[in-house]
Amino acid sequence: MNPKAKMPLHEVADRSSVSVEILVRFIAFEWILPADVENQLFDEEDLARIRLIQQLQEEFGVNNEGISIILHLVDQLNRTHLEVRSSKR
Amino acid sequence: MKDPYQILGVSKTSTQDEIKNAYRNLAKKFHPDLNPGNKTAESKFKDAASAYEMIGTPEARTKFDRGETLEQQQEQAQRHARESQGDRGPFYHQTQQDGGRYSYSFGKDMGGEDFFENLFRSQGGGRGQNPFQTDRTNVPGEDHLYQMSVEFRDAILGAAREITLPTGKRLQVKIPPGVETGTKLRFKNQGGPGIGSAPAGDAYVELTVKPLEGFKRDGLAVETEVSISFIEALLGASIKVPTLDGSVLLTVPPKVDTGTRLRIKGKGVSTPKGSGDQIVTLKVVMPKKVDPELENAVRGWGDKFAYNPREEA
Repeated sequence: MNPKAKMPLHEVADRSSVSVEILVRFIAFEWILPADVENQLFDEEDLARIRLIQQLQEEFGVNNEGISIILHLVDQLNRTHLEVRSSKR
Repeated sequence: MKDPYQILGVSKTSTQDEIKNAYRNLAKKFHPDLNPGNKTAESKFKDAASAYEMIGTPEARTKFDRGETLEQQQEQAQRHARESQGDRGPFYHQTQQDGGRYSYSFGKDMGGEDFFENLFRSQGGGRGQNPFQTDRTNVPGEDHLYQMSVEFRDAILGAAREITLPTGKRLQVKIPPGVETGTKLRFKNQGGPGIGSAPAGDAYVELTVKPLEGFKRDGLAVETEVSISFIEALLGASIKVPTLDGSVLLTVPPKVDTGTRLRIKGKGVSTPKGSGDQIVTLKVVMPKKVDPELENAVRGWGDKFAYNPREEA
């Protein structure tokens, strides 16, 4: 699938096996910021992040506070990696 | 082919819970999103995932212990896990490698501020409140959207109707006069329940106006067409015309044509912003059966009163 392609909420729910109600909570918690906020459309980045959250919750038993902190750290980590890689170029 | 017990660091006599805990510990430690770019960690995570797939449930474990899990299947499971997360698509960090939106926003949000100060002020991956405050779980309920068909008459004149939501809840819908297809009516706090002490979301009912034969709407006006005889067209008449709230008598002046538009005051859409009229377009219609006496009479007048309507007057 084209990583930039956008999909509606119900399709993300299908592909991630996370219910629409739970996804709405993810958005309300600001864990997920849809690629197209106005039209509530999501991309592969959103989908992968949803799967990570789901894994953290269900497989690792992380609670909501923990998810917030982990996502923050993961974003920091990815950002740092990006900066290190671009400084090497 | 590696031994899944060895990969997870458990023994053949370990309980399912011990196996699960061992997998969780390895997964937490080596999860690729917590170790982006670390190939060793990623490989260990995938090994642990494929090992857990083989002995993570009593059924799969029994099959494996009996030697029923074929070597080929085991290798396939391991290869599958190595190549990706199975059918689950890329790991999150893989979507961020070329500067994903989330990592980008993170950089933008952080600016030069102190990391920990920002962390404890943020909610989730974005901006917000302290995640440790208890009111962070106060999230307003989601808005729900419902569809409803309304009769043309109700859309023009307004009405009160009741709809039953999928939840079984009944909603009294007051349709104001003048609604159109696409009009959304809002019902405060009738949507999904809020989390914590936050209010429920709103319910929206989107209307579709059903067509009504013989009536059309044009802004605030209601358009209709009425047939008249050529005698009424010539001499004028008082005819009964249907409106959306009953029939009225309309005076048709003498010498009208097909296409003549007459106005019935106040029978259009009435809203607080203004009200419209009903516009009646006349259509002169020949009798279905022409009486021979009439035909002869007209034939007799033909020469005397002949006119050519195709020529300009």
